[in-house]
Amino acid sequence: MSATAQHVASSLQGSTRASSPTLPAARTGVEDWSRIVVATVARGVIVALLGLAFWAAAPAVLGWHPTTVVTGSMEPRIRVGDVVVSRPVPMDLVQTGHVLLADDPDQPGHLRLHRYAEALAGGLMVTKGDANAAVDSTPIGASAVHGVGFLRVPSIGMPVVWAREGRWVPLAMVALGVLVLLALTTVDREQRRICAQVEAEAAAAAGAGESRVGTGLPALVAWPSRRSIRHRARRLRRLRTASSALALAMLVTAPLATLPTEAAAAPFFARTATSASLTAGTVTPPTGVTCTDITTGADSGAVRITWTYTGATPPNVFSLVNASTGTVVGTATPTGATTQSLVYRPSALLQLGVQTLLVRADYGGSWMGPSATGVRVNGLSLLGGGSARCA
Amino acid sequence: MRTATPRAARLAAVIGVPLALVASGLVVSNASYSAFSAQTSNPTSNWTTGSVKLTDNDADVALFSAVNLKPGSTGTNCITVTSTGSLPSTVKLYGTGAVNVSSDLGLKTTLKIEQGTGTCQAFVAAGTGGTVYDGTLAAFQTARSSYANGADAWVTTGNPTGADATAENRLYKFTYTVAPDLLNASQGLNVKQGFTWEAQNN
Repeated sequence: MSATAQHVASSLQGSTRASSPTLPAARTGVEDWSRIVVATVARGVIVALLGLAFWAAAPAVLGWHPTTVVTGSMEPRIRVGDVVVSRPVPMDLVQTGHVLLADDPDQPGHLRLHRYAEALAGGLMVTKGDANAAVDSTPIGASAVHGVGFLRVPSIGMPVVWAREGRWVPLAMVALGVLVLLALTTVDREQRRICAQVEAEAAAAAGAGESRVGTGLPALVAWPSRRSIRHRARRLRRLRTASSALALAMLVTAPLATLPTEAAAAPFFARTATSASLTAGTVTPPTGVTCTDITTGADSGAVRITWTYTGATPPNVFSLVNASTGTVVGTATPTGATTQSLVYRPSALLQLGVQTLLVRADYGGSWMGPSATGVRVNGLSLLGGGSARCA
Repeated sequence: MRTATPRAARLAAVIGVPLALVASGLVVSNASYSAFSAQTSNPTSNWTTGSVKLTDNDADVALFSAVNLKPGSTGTNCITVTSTGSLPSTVKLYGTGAVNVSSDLGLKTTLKIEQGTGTCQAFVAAGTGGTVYDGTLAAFQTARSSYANGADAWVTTGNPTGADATAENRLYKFTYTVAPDLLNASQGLNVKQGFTWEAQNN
């Protein structure tokens, strides 16, 4: 081994490793391979996650709307934790069946991600959650639509949902998992370093050999080769540092870029209903008013006024009314029977002569139904005691 | 086993990254296709992990079917609304299917809706928001026409485990009163008003 090669090896390995350029004898193939596989898988997972985060966040640059789905009303096709990217589309291209991202008409400030189910007159659109049994109660207007669902990135928004619901345990576990993965990406560092080391060694050896064979001036010829190797090592180091920094930056910024996107509350709902029907009654005047003299019994000397009421609406009271003055001279509570009667005996201080009496159904307020025809009664009343005769 | 060649280690590192990127792209495109290519809605709701459920005890019979109303008529009836959904939700009450409510009968009928517990006879109004609505029947449909402007935010707690929650009940008491100055011309008028409770998950 030449002094050149040794120098290169130590410069590549830094101070952490012994300066021996040979492969460690204890390292077995199995360990090497498992380290490479684990690190490659870890890198793959990290990069795949970054890729998903990229698809979830980057379309915002184009003015598309990434939103995190927070309820399952569009299951099974769109699940909680998915990020759905909606693309603004001219309204004439929007068809039923499209998944629309629109302002929630029921909950100001929220977004709704539901399927366009039916067009109404006036450009209104009825939407429906796939998992809901019925269509949404309030249709949406064209101006409320932000876009049509275009990309779905599964589950990448789960941390947003967890953070929104305050579920810190799964959030912390995912963060921990990412850290573990990041740590695992470095387990094949040794193998890749040896790789660089061996190549460098080979290159140096080749360079030294050629120079020896070719010119016999090893120091002169080997010197540029050593510099180029050092350059290459530096370049590799820079590349590695830069890519790690980039990956780290993406890991940090991707969730940040996803977080501010509005949480699309795709609501579940349920309804129940009842109804009330109120129907006003009708005023029906009593008919068939008749007068009968009472000649025997306690009511002897009075008259019995009888009438027929066939209206559906029971009045509050039946009033016996003086047709000319409007004075109520007697009342009867409705019994519900078609034919009803009351006993009339004049009770005024002084009353003489014939008067016409009507029977009026009173329902309250201005609702009154006086009978079309009345009966003539000849009354005589003096100091409260009186008698009557049908005239 | 052969010792890992340095070249293989590097190759794995170089190939793994683009493969993962391609995989993420495939996942997104597949997921998008399955979500957005289907043009119809899925009628089943068995997929859901959470639910909002709302029922009432009116047995599909109208809350009121009052006839022969006259000036000063009044009536009271109650309905129990039950939520068993697993998701916390906000229940609002609004009008649907109003018929002829702007007639004199609608204008002269006041409607008071209260919420609380107990029974219709021994009604205990809720401490806050006990009165859901108190105004004319005619104004109800105008003021409360959809979930957005619905009356009464009853917030249900649901069940965090995802199973159907134990029933959360709310008793609603409806009282109508016909004003004494109901016009004679209103005889025989009929007004109808539907009441819908809608729960939306929070």
